[in-house]
Amino acid sequence: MESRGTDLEHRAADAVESNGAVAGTESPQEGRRTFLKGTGLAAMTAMMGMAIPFGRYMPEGYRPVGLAHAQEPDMVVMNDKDGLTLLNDRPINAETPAHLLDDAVTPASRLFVRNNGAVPFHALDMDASSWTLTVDGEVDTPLELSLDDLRNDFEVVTRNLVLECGGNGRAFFQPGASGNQWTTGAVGCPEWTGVRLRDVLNAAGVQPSAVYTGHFGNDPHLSGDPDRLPLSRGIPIAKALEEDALIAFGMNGSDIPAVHGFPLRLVVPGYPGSASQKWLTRIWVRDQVHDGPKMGGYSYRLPAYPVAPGTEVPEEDMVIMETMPVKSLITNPMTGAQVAADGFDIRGHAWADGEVAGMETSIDFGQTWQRAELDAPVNRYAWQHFRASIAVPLPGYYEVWARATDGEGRTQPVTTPGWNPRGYGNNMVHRIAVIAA
Amino acid sequence: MVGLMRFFSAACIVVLGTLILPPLSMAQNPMLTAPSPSPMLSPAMPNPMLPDPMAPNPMMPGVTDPSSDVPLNPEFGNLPDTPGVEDTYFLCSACHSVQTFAQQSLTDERWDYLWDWMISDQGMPDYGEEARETILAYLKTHFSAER
Repeated sequence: MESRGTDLEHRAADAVESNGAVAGTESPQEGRRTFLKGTGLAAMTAMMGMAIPFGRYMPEGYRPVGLAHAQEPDMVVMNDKDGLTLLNDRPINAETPAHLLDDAVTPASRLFVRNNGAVPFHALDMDASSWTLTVDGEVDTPLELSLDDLRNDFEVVTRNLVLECGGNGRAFFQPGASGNQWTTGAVGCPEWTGVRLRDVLNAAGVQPSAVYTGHFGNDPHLSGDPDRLPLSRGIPIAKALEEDALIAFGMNGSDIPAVHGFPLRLVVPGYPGSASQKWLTRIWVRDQVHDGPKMGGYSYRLPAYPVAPGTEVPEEDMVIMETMPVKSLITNPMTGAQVAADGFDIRGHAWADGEVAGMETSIDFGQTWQRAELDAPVNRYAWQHFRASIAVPLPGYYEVWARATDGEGRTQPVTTPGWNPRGYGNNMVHRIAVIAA
Repeated sequence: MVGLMRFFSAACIVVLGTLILPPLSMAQNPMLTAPSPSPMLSPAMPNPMLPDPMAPNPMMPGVTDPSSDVPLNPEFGNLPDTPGVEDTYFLCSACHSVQTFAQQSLTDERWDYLWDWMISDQGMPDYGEEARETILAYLKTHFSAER
């Protein structure tokens, strides 16, 4: 890759000059600050290939409209959120405290927010006119589908499907793993309306050469470079042809909110949320494993062998993360609650790739476990509700632990499982504190 | 509480300092990498990691040391005010907020990798060796798993 250093120096000097930095009349400190700001501006300028008039008057953090998107206005999408913990405002990432995930179906106001890039303008404007979904590649008949085509030409289904970020739980790894420091709240289970991915792929006619899907959306890259994608992942074709994944155009009976992918997105349950492309414009059926941004390197990959915490694993030894591990969450009471010493109830949800077979709780730090009552899911890949009546021997402080076991007999670890460089796959048990009085 | 966390961190540094490649010849004790500050330790010593000492959260991870004495500079996104803060703030905020890196606690090797990755994969301009050294030193000081 060619070095941009020298070119950038020239452009930085030009940009600083044309952006009105006045050399010689500022103190060295101010001059340096101006240069740095100019360099940052110069980087943006270089991206855009043009000078930014009046750049020196831009407020800190302001992004000019000439870029693919003005990023600070993204935060308007958070106005509809209720009680989320903001991890980052650029790109916007926010998780939901456990006690705010108590609803059987996660409302939009409580669904976590995960972005690799900025929110596209069309979504902020809720403008879906002329939206097209392209399906091409290793298919008999490439398709160009409008939203009406999807609604009219395919069976429309409604499913409660869990969406979980691959990095949910990352914050607990030591040493730290790079990425958003999600604790337990990058998960939700809204009700999705759409058509089956499988039905659309079959309408195009998947050829024997098909190996993987590649998903594309139109969210802008943070750098402002219109040729860069923030995220483009895919799934094995066999997974894509299962009945569960949806091309969704509705959430909880309404349009999908702007930040969650208006007007169209994938929902691929059982896989990391990054496989569920938002603002979906294209599905490319490929004859090889997809290699879009954040398919390779360390993104959504785990070491091929177990490593000690802190090990830098060679890239070639990282394998793609597919199914998410079994997990659960106590959503009531809130941690720290005061409860009745003669007995109290807890409840929550559990989910897995496939069905959760059993749910247990412990009030003695995992020394003994008691069976909890577990409901069947309303449909495949919906989370399952559980509840338990807890008895404590004495008034005092307790931790209530909850662990789910999947259909293969795998349960949740009580501490962080295998460390990996990017902190994926942490399905350790959820613990809340209660004071029984 | 903080003292205990510092002990655990120091123990981790000792352990990690002997770690080059698996398998390990030096003893590594996974019991020393217990992540969460125990709410049991909070009543006597208020823990700023817990938003309300009376509402303990065993899941609250102790990733960053909140009781550091380093002043924060509001001009630079409330980053710790030590040499390198200005470069870090301006150059790194071109694309993403300071929170993107301020929430991290990484090894030196991972910080090095991320700088190169941002240039090769994310369109960051190559600001050159001096900027790289200054900014990485800053990040490795304040957002480190090793110190």
